[in-house]
Amino acid sequence: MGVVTTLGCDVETFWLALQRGEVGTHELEHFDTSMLATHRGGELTGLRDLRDEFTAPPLALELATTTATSAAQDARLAGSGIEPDRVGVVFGTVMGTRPVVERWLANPQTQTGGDLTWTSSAALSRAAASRLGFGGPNCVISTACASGNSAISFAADALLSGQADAMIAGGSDELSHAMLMMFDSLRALSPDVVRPFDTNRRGLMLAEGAAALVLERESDAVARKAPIYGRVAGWSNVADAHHITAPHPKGDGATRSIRAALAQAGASAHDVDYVCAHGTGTPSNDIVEATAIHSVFGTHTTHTPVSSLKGALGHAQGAASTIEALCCLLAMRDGIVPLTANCDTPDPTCDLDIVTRRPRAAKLRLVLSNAFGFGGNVECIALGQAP
Amino acid sequence: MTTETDIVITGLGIVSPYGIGAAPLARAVMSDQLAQRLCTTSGWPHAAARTLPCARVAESDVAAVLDGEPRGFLNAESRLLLAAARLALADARRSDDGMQNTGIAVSTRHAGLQDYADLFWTGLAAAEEPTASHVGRTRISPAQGPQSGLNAPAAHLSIRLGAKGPNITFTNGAVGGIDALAYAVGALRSGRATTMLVGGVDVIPQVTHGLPMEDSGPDVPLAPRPFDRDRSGPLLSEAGVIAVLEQAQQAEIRGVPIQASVRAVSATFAPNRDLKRASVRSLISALSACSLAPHEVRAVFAGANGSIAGDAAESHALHAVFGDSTAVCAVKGATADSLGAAALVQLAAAVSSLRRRWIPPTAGFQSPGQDIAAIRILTAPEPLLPGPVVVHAWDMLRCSATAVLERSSTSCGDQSGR
Repeated sequence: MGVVTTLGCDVETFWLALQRGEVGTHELEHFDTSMLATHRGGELTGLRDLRDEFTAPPLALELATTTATSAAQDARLAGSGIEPDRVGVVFGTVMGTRPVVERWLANPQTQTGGDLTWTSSAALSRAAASRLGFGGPNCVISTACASGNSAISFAADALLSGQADAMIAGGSDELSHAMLMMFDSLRALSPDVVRPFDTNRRGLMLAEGAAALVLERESDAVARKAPIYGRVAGWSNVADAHHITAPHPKGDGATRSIRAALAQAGASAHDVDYVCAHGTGTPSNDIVEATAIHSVFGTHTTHTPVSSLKGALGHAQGAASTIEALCCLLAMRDGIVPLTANCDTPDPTCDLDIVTRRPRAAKLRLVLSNAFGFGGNVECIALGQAP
Repeated sequence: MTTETDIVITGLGIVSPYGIGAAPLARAVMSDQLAQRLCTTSGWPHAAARTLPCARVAESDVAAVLDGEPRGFLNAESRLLLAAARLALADARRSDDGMQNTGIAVSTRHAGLQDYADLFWTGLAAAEEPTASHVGRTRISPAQGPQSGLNAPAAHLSIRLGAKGPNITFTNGAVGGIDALAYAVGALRSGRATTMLVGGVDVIPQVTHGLPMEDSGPDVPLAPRPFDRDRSGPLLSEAGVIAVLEQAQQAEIRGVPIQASVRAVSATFAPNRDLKRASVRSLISALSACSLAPHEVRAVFAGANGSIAGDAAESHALHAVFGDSTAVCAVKGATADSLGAAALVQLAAAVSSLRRRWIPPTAGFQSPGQDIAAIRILTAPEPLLPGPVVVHAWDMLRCSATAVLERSSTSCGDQSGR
């Protein structure tokens, strides 16, 4: 596993910060937000301080390469005997390398100094694979803010179909002026903090970051004595087919996706020990997600702990659900349900068992991680405990 | 005789610089035309006006197809893809009813980029005004922002059609169309969808006008000349393509003609910059997956686009796999390079060839460059014998992808990437 977030640039630092209830959103320093209604976000300020913003590669590209490299090292892929041409790389993203055009538009003289391949978001997975020498399936995909989970399911499919013997699946996105303006126009940004599932929630907060996981067939991992964090037990990509920004009011896509992911895992709602919610902190998302959970879990809803990482991290866009999947694996490893930062007054309308204020100890055998995106993209995955 | 695993193409829809539908494109490709709609486009406010020869889709063609379509804010790519989908569904004799289990897999390189740039430019321009405030809320339409995402065309398509199955966008350069095809085959085989719309779409964003294509020569090419000694780089074009895929048994039950079967798909990457090796791997892998020997392939629809290094690498890969006797055509000589849509334009040309039983020539090709391997590049149409054809795509970020198609419906076999 590899991760870069505002709460840490390595897995254990990130995980400890999350358990301590730290919040990584703050006043933005590298973006002029004076003309916007919101001035905060999950900015990787320290990393940006070290970059030459005129000449550096797109940050999303660097994040993808960094997390893929960390994940490959953690999985001990080098020298494992796996044929490099049988290792693939897939990244999910919302905007990919697109923010690089902002630099070119604001400073046309920098246009000739960049690498033209930066205009292609495919560079995310290509750069990572080039660094690592992997020649298997190589893709960048987008299902909006569900992209991270979609990368995981794409990788799982590639392994099941025999296209690869190992896959690095990640998500990567960076902040940009255009995205800040877009969410400002939608009046979707919280002015202070993100409060998922809270009665007083006021919106989401954009963030940047990346995460990557190494997936392989269980028998292969056991045979080479690789560390196993968990199993990808089920996944389901569906479309709401309803509205370009609003979720289906009854959570139709979310309900179908959760059911299909659990069915693939051979599980029922009663088997789920924790739901890592999409939980953006917008009024509409959280109530619709709660509706979908109730639809699937029924009376078991009140017995299933739910939390959202977005109170701590903000919304890392295409990276969000990969970060959340990574968190689910750590939660199962340590038997800890992470808390929902900034949720002080759980919304009774949602009627969920929201884990607030402090992490909760629990035996976690199967967890569900939800991800939804603009355009009605939905991809929920079920993750099982390591054997 | 078909099996549950036979995946077939039952509909094609295209809007290209040649007009509406597959027929005008096929005619242009077959008649050895260079891209006829070479257009000069203006630059964008951020830079002095520049001209860029390119092949653009006529907006009037898109509007004609979408006549009667409900109003709503759709960006250029979403409109183009929707138009292609309408044509494809009609071709496949499908109505909007029963789309519950229909999925969508789309390839694009730039979808939404111009909308993204417009968003940013709005803010940049407002910053010059001393009294501007709350720019996001006062200057940006809430309808415009969501168009700036890569997934917007696929998402809009699902909303317009009520397609509730899998929905995914590949942004993987010129090979993305075959990636989308592979995803669709997997979705149909696993039962996650009963019908898949595989699409490719790109419109040339004004914001990229100042940028040369990768691997171009010093001069902007006025025409693509795949494999030719005088080639000087690719020429950009626009296109929207949709292929309707379903299981053969379903197509037979519906009584709809099967246009081609998808026998195998494979994709590889060259981490060491060796595009030839990656291409050889993807070609051999696809052929192996459906137990084909190279000599059984009747034609190769190559990805060559006039690129200096790319065409040479592909020619050497094709020579290594097929030798010098298999017919090779590069349709980008006529269609130019429509980026994320390009592989599906190639696929559409291949399906058209299977239907008409003719292999098109390579427009713009006269004599091979010295760096081009000895392969049999067609300069005139040639009859296509019954048998499989290969669509090969690559891009300058060093991915290669291969699809094997055949007129008759036969089992797809294992699609391993080995």
